[in-house]
Amino acid sequence: MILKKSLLFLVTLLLVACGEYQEPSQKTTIEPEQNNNVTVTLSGKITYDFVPFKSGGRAGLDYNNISKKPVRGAMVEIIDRAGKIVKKTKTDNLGHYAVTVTSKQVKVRVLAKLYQSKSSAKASWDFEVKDNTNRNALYVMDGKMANLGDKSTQTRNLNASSGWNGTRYGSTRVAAPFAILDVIYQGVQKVVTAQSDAVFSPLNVFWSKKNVGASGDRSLGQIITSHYDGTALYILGAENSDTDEYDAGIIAHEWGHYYESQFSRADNIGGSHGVDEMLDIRVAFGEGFGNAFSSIIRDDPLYIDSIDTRQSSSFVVNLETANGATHKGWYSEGSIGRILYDIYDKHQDTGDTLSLGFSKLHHLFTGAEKNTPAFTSIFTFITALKAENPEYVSEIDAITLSEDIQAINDIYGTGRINRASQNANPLYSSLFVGNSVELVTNTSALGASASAENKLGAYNFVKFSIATAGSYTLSVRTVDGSSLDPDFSLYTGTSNLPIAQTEEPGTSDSISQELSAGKYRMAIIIYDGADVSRVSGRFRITLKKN
Amino acid sequence: MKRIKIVFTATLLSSVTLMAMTAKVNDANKVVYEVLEGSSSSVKGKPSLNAEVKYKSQHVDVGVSADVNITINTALTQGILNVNLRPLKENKLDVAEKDLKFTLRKGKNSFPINFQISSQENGIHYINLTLSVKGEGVKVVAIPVNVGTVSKKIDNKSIEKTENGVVSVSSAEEEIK
Repeated sequence: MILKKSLLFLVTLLLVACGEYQEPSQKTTIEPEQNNNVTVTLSGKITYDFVPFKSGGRAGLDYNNISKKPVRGAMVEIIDRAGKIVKKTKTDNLGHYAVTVTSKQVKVRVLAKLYQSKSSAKASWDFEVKDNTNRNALYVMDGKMANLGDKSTQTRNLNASSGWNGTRYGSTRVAAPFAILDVIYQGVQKVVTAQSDAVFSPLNVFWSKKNVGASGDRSLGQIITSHYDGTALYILGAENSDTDEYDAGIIAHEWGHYYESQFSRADNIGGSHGVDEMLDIRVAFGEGFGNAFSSIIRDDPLYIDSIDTRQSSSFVVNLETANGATHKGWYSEGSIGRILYDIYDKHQDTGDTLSLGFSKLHHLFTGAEKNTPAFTSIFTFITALKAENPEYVSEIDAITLSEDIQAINDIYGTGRINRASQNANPLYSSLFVGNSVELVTNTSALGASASAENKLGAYNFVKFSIATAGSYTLSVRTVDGSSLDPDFSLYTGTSNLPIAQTEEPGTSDSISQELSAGKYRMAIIIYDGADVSRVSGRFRITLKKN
Repeated sequence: MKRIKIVFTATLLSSVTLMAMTAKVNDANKVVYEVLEGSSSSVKGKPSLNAEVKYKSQHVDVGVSADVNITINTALTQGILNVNLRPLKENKLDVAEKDLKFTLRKGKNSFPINFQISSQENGIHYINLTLSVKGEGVKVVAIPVNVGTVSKKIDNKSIEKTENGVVSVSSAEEEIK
């Protein structure tokens, strides 16, 4: 036994003399601590394998042109042989790090984490990429436990491998969390250029190679699709199905939803949506904003989603062109994405001579748009934009007109019909205390879709003002003898959460509530059984002071 | 060899109302499996094709055929809905992938796909569906089918507890100089 230990110690000394120590696998080789620490400036560059899209983006990921990109702004830890963190730092915008370390043997650990404390600068953030299928563990990559050498400096460059072996992901996809992190880094930098004291709420981003487009148990990777659920981002990673870690447009889109909910206001009710659909104004704006924000933080109008076997095909949306669009308008996320990006970008095209940059948009998102008394939509956004930039009114009108949207002059879209020929009510109906308003609904155009609720015309919107605080009763009931079931929610102020809502079965719903003076908005939906897509009937909304 | 077998049993273009499925019970001593049900529509997801996929799949024992019922709903009323259906894992299946086409028109926007699947391997198996309509977008959905014992495998060997909480450790490519 003594002989064995002596031999191992000798081998260890020989490896150290060669300048690199390879950690033995047997615990019996741990040496007693000796006072022979050295002080070394340890530096290097941290990179990850970046997989680009094939030319034009339509043929999926290009594994023949993998390049190394810097891991920017990530936390780096120097860990000694006892497992103690002896130094912490983070990489700069080129992926470089440098620390002075006094120790003997250390390893470099890079965390999939962007962090800036509130005390170290005006802006602060905390973003982590974790594995939802493995105890929500934070992804890290480690270098070797190695001797610091006998010089005053040492360089250790670390790279996160893609894991691609030429035909498939044959080894650990170390790069994936860092590819995701780098898109968030870009987003943070964009926001901080507009607001140097921006405080970002902590956010977990969950990615796993098991994350697949199935509903069910998230800990098994069944996340439905890449999405923001209001508290965290979930990103797909299932090879040969749909991976999103290199689809920067998707990461940025979903992070845009986080930005919108944290810094602005997200009234988006969710559900399945297509770029060229006629959507609920709240969904159209939220998703159009997501598309535009994705392109804004990347300065790239292309949104590309790689899918399929070997990630070999793509779905592409170009925010600089409306080619093939059949539903341009204020209800289209495609139109809204193009409008917002045109207002931002420097490139001028048909109808677009404006390039306001991000700061003006950020000011608007965090101010007027966040505080609007209406539901967030292209109407609230454009109205505020024109108010804050009166010198560009004609340019703004030209951009909206290029998407078949006549000049917008108020937050409620006055003059617009909820859904022409199907739901011929005004987009917002006005209600007054002591009065009623009667609406006719017909949702036959919505189709047998599970997401019919988020299509244009499924919801009816009503606005009213309360001049005198007190108790009020708000009711909605069918008036044509049908068995339709109305439900509604009541909102006020800057919150996207209702102050009251009713989902009672039956042909009438009502709430009695203390209401303070102010502006209110209602969202009403009518069901036929569990269906909203084949409803035809007449209903009345009444507001009374108790 | 562990293999999954898929057998199509329904006319793909027929419009059939799905029947509620019951759990499989062989005898009093056997586990009663639940029917998996799911939908692709319940989150604020990334931009994709305007279509929802609802599904039901039987949880069955190894080697036993499970009914899988998929319904694709879309509000689109024109174009061709292309559906590519294949098992997610290669080399474990004895059925070729299927390419299906559905003509969209007004009043015809719900499409059932019914088939049976069996496997000699315990665990969760996925059927990968890629839906596309030219000019409208693409959506990828995975249909889970539970076979026999389904366990959550945790990769403990890469897990480490630190002052940062639990971390998942991978090895970097490293150059020291």
